[in-house]
Amino acid sequence: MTTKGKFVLLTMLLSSLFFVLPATSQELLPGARVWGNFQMDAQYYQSDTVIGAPDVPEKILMNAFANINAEYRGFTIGLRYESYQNPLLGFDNRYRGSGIPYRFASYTQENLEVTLGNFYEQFGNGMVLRSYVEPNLGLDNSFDGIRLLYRPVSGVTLRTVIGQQRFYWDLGPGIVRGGDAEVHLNQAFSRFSDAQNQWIVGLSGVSKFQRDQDPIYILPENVAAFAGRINFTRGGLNINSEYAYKANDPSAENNFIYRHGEAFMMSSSYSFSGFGLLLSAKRIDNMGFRSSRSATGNDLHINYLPAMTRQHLYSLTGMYPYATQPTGEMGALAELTFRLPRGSFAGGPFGTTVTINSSIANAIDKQPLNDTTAIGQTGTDGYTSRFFALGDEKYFQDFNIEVSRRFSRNLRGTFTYMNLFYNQNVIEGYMDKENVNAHIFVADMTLRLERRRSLRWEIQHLSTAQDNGNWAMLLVEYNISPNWFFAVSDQYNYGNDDSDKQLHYYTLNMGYNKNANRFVLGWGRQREGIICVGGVCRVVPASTGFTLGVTSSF
Amino acid sequence: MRLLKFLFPGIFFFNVLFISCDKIEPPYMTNVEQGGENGEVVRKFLLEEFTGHRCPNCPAGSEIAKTLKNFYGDRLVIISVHAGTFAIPVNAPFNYDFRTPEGNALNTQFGVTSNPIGMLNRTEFEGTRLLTPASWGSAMQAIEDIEPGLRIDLGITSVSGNLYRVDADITALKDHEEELYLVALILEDGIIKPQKITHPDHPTGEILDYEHNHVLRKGITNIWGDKIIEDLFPQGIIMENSYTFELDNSWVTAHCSVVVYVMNSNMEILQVEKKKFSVK
Repeated sequence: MTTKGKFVLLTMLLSSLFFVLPATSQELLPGARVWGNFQMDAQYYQSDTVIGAPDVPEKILMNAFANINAEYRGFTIGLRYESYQNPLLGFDNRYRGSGIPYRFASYTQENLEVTLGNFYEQFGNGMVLRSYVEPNLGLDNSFDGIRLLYRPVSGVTLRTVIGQQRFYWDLGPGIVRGGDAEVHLNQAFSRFSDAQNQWIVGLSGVSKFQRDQDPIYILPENVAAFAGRINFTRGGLNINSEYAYKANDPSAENNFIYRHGEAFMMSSSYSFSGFGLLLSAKRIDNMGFRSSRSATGNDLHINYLPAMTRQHLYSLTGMYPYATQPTGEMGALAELTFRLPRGSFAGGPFGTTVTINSSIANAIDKQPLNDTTAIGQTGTDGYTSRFFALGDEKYFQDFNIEVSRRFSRNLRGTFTYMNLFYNQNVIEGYMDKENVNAHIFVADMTLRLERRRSLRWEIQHLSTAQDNGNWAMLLVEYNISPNWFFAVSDQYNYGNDDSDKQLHYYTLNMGYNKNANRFVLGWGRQREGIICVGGVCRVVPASTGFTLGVTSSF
Repeated sequence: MRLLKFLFPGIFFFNVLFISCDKIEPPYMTNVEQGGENGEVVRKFLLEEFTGHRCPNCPAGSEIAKTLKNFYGDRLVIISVHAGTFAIPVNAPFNYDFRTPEGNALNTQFGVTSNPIGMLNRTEFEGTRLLTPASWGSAMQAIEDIEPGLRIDLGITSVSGNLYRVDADITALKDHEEELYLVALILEDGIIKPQKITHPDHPTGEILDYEHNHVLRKGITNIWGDKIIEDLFPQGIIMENSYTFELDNSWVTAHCSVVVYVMNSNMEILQVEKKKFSVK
């Protein structure tokens, strides 16, 4: 049996102590705790050549996972079982199969936390290290190794990690080592403990090792990245800033250039009752950092480059989401939220909340190294770049206003207008697509009915002269709180230049919630598109069929 | 626990302060002129490069393939498979079609969704068969010490007109106990046709007189091959195979070549050989 196999067996045996006989374990081990969750998404695919749905020989595909954890007196063990029979369309086929890709044991004693096995970790804003799992993206870059966290004195946290990252059912080729120190100055120094100004500073260092096997390129086998951050809080004001630097790291993502990478972000917020202001800015330059030089897509990210655009939740406002460009971008976001007081002319009898949000992402300045070298030419330093200069190309721009208002005791609504610019070539990797300029309107109304019933409807419209043209959408949802919901919706691409593609994408959904369990059954068409979480995206192919979702926690 | 107060910060600072980093100074690429083979039988590489004439990033991929070819010489055989979205003909001058039934079948079978991308002997490298150009070299290094299990000797003879015969003798250099399949294909080099490109030297995004090489033209056998060994192929045995085929009139014979490879039931390439047509 392999070492990994022994570890899995040991973990499962230990787990059984806690949860196979829960009543007994509680009696045998007072204070023991078992918790976890389960999620399953399955789809029965029907043939639908009209929308370009690919043929699915298996007919039924399913993604599922369950986390099971147990804790007793500071000792915690846990595992995650995953099953892809086979992966749903849009998820990488390399997930095919079942197994336990995540298992760990940890204990805490005297301010020291030791984790063996798999773990997730984030240093600061994640610009040099962040591992996390996002099932909706098929992303899991957990580490398999050792993690130590120590708090030697109040306000000081030291972390160190070493391990390899998950690569589907295997591990990536690189070994990642890192350390982070964070000091909450007001806690660490007693004379500042009562100060209104709260300061937190942090330093991180991460290095990856991967053998150089390339016959052409002379590759750095060890690549390091460092980051420093500061966080200031006073009352409702918060300022958070971080700068990261990465040494030469030629990879598939940057076309094997040897330029250093750097990233800077600053986010500030100010709020008081009924008012909130958020201002953020960032600059990213060649800052993709992965534990394999050849990795692409969502594979083996060591770091995370924060998104600085609003994540829209409605179908049409979210049709063109922005994906962070690690090879270079400058971005900014501003968001103002204020409440118009109730009883005023503008606020109405119940008050009105207004959110104005705008964000932009642009190319950074890139200049050739000399007259004979193209920008980004492989095997060179790539380019030069002035830190504060903008590039010529705009990637994304979003201006939106959201007004939420209660009209009466039973009727409330949210109205959104969005103006969008979307550079399809850069964001989706095409070469010959037009930039999309779109206007989007959404009205989301909820009418509260008697006996805990409610009716919610959304009316959405997207108008654009580019890509697939105009869309209209209607959704009606009937809720019987707290257990049932029924929804019907239709997205209609009536403005498509190709009359054969002026299609309806209709769905029927119903759901049942009972305590911590939720079942959702649906049928309908899914249009081809992109979903993004925090600037990290996944392509969703078109499909038609029945869907079943089950989530549960204990 | 007092020890921990000192020990852990010690471990931490060891990790952070001594974080390793290799700073590489130019030139970043090695001299890539290694030349061809020395007559010794070696395990050869087959690079199947999936491409398309409307794929603007593909010329950069082909450049990497060319660099590797300079390095490995005859040990590397390249097939450019034009298939998928970027190979679909559109308006002039991109209205020509290099797609073949064989290339389309490979594209579908291996789930190719982006270009440029390639397979090296159809073996997995870092968990995947489909490799971006930047990892082709590393993938070759990873398998270059594998001993050859087969030798392929090719001969092309003219039968009449455009009709030719290829003789492919397969010699077992060790015992094989598996099904083996032989695939024979025709390639053409030096085809001058327009190509999309992303490069500052070509602000229009096009090269009208781009030279396409290693273009897959036709399958002499089925793309999934002829089964030549059912279960046992003892060392020293030679399996003789012959195929008669016709060259298309529109192809330049002097630019054409025959590629023969042997694969197992997992479609992994065990050996490959290429022979150019000799024109008198």
